[in-house]
Amino acid sequence: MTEISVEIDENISKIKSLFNKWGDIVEKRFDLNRNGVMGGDAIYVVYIDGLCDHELIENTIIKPITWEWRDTGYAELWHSIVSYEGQTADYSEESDFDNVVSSILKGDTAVFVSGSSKAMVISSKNFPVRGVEESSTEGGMRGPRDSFNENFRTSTALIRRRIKDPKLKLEQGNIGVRSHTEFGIMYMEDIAMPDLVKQVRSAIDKYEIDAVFDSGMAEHLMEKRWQEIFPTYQATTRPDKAAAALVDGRVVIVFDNSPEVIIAPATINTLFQTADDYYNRWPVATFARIIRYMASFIAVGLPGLYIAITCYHREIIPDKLLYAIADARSQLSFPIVIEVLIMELLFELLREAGIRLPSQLGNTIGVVGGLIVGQSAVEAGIVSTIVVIVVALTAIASFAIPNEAFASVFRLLKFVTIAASALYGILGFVLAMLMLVFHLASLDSFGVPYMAPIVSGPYRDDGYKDFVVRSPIKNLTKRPGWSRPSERIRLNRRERQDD
Amino acid sequence: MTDGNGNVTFSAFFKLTMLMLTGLTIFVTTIIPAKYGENGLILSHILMLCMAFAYVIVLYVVYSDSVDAWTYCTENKEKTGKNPAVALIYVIRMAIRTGIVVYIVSELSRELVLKKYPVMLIAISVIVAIAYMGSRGMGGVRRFAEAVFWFTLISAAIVFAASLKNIDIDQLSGYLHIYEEQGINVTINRIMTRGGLMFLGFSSMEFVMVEYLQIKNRRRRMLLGAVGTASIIGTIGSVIVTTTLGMKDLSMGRKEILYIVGALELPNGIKIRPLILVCYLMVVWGIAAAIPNVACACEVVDEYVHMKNRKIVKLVWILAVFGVTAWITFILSREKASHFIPGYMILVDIPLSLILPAVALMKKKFVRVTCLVILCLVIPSMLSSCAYKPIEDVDYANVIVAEKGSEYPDKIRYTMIITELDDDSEAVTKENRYTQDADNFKKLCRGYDESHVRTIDTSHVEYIVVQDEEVLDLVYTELEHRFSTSYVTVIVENDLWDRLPDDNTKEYLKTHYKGRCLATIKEE
Repeated sequence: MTEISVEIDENISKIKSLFNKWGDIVEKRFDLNRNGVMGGDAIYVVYIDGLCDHELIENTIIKPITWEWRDTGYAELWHSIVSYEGQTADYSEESDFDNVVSSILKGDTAVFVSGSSKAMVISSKNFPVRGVEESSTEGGMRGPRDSFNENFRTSTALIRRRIKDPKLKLEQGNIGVRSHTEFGIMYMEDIAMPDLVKQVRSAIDKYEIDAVFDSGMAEHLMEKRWQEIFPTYQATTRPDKAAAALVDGRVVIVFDNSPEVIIAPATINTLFQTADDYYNRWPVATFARIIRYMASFIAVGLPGLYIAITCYHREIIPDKLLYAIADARSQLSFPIVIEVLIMELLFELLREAGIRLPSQLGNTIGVVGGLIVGQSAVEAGIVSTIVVIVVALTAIASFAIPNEAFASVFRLLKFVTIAASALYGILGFVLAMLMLVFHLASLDSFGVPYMAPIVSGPYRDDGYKDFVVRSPIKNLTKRPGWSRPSERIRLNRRERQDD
Repeated sequence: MTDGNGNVTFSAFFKLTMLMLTGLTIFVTTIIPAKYGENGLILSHILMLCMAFAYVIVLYVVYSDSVDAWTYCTENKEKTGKNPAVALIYVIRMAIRTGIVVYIVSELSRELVLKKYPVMLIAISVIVAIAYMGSRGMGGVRRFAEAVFWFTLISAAIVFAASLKNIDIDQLSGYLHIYEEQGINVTINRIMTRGGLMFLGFSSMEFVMVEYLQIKNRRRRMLLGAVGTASIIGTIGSVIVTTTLGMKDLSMGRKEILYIVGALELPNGIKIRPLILVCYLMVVWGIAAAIPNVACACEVVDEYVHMKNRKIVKLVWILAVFGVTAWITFILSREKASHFIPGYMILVDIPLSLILPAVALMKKKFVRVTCLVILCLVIPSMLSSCAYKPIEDVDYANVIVAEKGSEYPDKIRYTMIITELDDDSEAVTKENRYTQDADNFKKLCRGYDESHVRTIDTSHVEYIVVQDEEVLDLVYTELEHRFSTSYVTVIVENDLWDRLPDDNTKEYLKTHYKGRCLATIKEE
């Protein structure tokens, strides 16, 4: 801790030295005219241009202090400023010089007063950020359209707007020795298990890193096993999803500069759910979920299955289809495995290129890649039409999985099933799938089995009501098993007064 | 899974038990009467269950004195001072047992889906899988059982429902007879000494017992419920399988797992076989039998070996498993292995399962098998995968005609009716015929392969047409063996060539003849 000097000149020189060669630093010393005498006392205001609200600084700090003090004198300068002149409620008194510097870096304005060993830190942050826009990655047919943006406070506000309950707690902190990225752990005090909150807290505090620029970086730091390929946190850009997670007893972690918040614990079931599952009627939502689970199987297994059957077990294929495949492949030079790998890699290439390109060109790449290159590859005898269908189906299926991080893993594991099927046919395919299931079954996220509710946890749960089949809202009377047992009931029928 | 104190829930125990015992019961009870049909299915099955339950009771008596039965290998080191020796014996026992299980699973897999692969190549994939799975410990095994339980149940139901269509109800009474029995002692002796797959059943029983002992507030009826349900379902499954095959075929003593799987397939199964589900069931049951051994052995290694050396020790252990499998495959013949496995079970394994916990109490965790080993195994295997025949480079035979040889009466004149891709875009296929006198069908295929650019593929043969019953008797044994998994229809027709059209022979046969199923001719 570095103390603030009562000599204002000493503080000024420290600030100047620290922010030397800072073109965007704004600092001004105001010598006060007290009882007609100039130069006795002074106020020193410092902030960073671009991070602050100029108007706020002018109106609430500089104008009142300098104008009102022109002719009036007070015995205790600091006390007067704090009590009467600072025209804002959002300020704090700091006696640690390092904290003051940290606040300046975050966009606050610091005011040093001669003769005082404290500095006033006024919240004046006004970053250049995006507005609240529609989520581009988690769209839905029904439900709210807003999404988080890079502003920490906006993100927390979007959640608070949905849960107006004093039990919703927000524990704030900083991560990153140099970036000082703000983060907040949000949870419902009476619903979330205290042990879960404690685990999340200790996971964040576990490492000291120089900078965190996105929730993704923090998420990877907080994970128990760095080798783990599946996400054990759920990332979302939708405030309604985050709010729903909170009332389910989960913990939401918000990071500054990140448009995605992360939610713990995460299970396969939660990763397959979308927000509008709960806004649509239950048969529609159930059907959508079945499609998503099927899509995950197709995304990870279809190319492997195709290779296994066509290379090793062609007796399974009906005659007409067999001849169709053989006919389609009769002019090709490559074995089926190579053919599938070529198309899969081509698709991944197009996908990666589509992400990097501007949105206008992204569509062009889709057309050029999907239609022209695909068609040309078939005509040139590099791949067969059947393989194009298989790869296209796999690609479409991978996009049907709602969580991008989760879907990416399936896209990656697809190559494992391809290799296993190429080696051992159906046996390899089955072995690879079983290893995948085993891996998923043995995973957990903060003590909650990753495959809950199929794999039971150390708690009583009726999670099957909100699994593949999404029961009607009236039947979802209980929270998931990871919430506090005393707060497990979430839906009660009110007795009517006239009954 | 477990509750907060690490105790197993009854639900998890039940699912694990079902997974470990149902499949094994089917395999064991189907194959034992297949070899010793004179004993009758019911008697064999009852005796086997009696022995298994007796074993469970003995295990219970031995284990129940332990504070934590699962950890008998690692408890009370200080008191006995003998635990390192016990642990070593335990780990070696697990390695031999795992090697045997891997051999059985690999052999079954080869018979079922990868006939052209050597057993050891398949064993590599199985070892890699179980080593990875076992590295997650018994907790992972329990969770795996929970995760696959429902899908396994659905798959088994579909396969059994499919095979129900093939059941010959008239044959069912044959199973109820206990005839020509030479006494229970002889029967037990036969079952114990020759029933190779019982090894899996008994080793699974041991794990079922130690899992049962970890249930909080356990009741005896829980054990009875779980083991009983698995046994009943397994028995029903095995009755369906064996009834599908037919009693007489079983009593011939030649039916292997391949025949059983063939019987599980759908009628006219070429187009709609649930092969994937059958393969899935076999692998999941095989793995369920193998991974508890790996998990337990690794837990012991974790307990006794210093952190730095654990990976090396586990690697050595895995290599030992590989060595046992290789020894059984290469040194022992298949016939000798069927004697060695139950012999080892009776003389060494079962006694050790009782002696070891009685001598000391033990426990602990596992480690991962090295990625390097997987990489070293995968790369050569991947290169070897290029050996398969591309789907478009083979000719598909649909119909086989067998008649007496014209030039050499001692030979059979075979004609294969082959569907080929037609260059003419108007027609997808055209029909071709290949005729030759040959000693047997195998030589015919070899002759075709040598004389043609493309090789012949007989996986889509649906009809065998023979000149008369005499020819059928000559070719039956070989063709039945070759097409054992398919429901090939046999037609006896003397003047076929006068009747057959020039094209679309298969459709003609389908519409004009009823025929008989190849697999059932023997019993007729």
